[in-house]
Amino acid sequence: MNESAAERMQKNHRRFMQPAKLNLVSLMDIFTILVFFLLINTGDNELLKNSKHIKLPDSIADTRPEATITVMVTVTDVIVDGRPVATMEDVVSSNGVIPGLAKELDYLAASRTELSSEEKANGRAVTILGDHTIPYEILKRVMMTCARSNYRDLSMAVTRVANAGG
Amino acid sequence: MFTKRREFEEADLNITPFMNLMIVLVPVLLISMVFSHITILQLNLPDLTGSVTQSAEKNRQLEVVLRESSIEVYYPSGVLVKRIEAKDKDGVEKLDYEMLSMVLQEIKKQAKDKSDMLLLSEAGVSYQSLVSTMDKVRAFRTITAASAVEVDLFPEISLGDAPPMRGEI
Repeated sequence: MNESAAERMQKNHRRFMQPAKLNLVSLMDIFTILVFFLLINTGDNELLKNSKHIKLPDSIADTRPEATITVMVTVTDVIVDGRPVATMEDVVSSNGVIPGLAKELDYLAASRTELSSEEKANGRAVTILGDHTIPYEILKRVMMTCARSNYRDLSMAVTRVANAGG
Repeated sequence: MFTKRREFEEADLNITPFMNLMIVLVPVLLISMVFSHITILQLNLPDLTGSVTQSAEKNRQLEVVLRESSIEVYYPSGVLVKRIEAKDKDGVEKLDYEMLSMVLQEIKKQAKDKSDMLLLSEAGVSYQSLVSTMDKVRAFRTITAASAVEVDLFPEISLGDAPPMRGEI
C-alpha cells in the first residue's frame, strides 16, 4: 500500500465514470425457472369449468376429462350444460327417474342420433359434477335417469389430490 | 492491443429482448394457471334393456357395503369377511379406508384374476365417501424400489343399494 491518496482517488474516479452495469443474471434465472413452473401448471384443457356453487369430491383418480354433456348436481339444482332442469324438490319428490332431467337428456339425444360404434356399445357419454355432500340416494336417481336415456358411459368429475382423505 | 481490451471489458449480451419476452410470458402463464386439476372416475352402467347373464364363476361376487357408520366386505356374496367400523378421529367419525384397502388386498391375493366388484351404498352415504371408497377399491398404492406404483385391485365397479343392516330385518 504505497500509493498516495491522490492516486487512489484518481483511480476510483476513473472507475465510477464508466456507465453503471446491472447484474441481470440472477433475474434471468428466476424468470426462466418461473416460466417453466408456470408452463407445467397451465391448464391445457379447461373442459370442465370449476363452478363456485359446488365443491367436487377429492380423489386420486388421474384420468383426463373428455368433452361430453355435463350434469351438475348442486345442493339445490340439477343443471345440464348450464341449463337448470330440475330443483332438489323435484328430485326428492320423484320416485326414481327425474322428469326434467330425462326430458333434457332425451332432447339432447334426439339432436344427435348418429352414434359411433363405441357409443353403441357403451351408451352415450355424460359427465356428472356432483357436490361432495350430496347423498347417494340423489346421485342414484341422477344416474338412473341418465341410464334410462341411454347415457351409460358415466364419468364422475373429481378434484385431484395427491392423497385423498375421507 | 486486442488482448488487453478483452482483459478489462466483460462480454456484454443484449438481454433486453429476452427480458421483454419473459415479462410478457409470465403474466400470460399466470392467468392460465390452474390450482385444482379436475379429473374423472370412469363408470359404465349396464344396459337396462339387456338381459343379465352370469356364469357360475362370476356369481362369486365381491361386495362392499358402504354404510354411514361402517364398511362391510362380503366375499363371496353373503359371507361376511370383515366389518370395518368408523374410527373416531379428532372427534369426527370417519370411515376407515386404510383398513378397507388392506382387506381388499388380502382378497386380491386369493382371487388374482378377479377385477369386478359390487359397491352397495346406503341412501345417506355422501358422494365424498363413495368416491373415496371407489379410490380404495380400484387400486392401492405401494412403494417398490423407491417409486410409488399403483396396483389394480378391482377396477370394474358396479353400484347398487345396500341391504338393510343385520338385526334390522
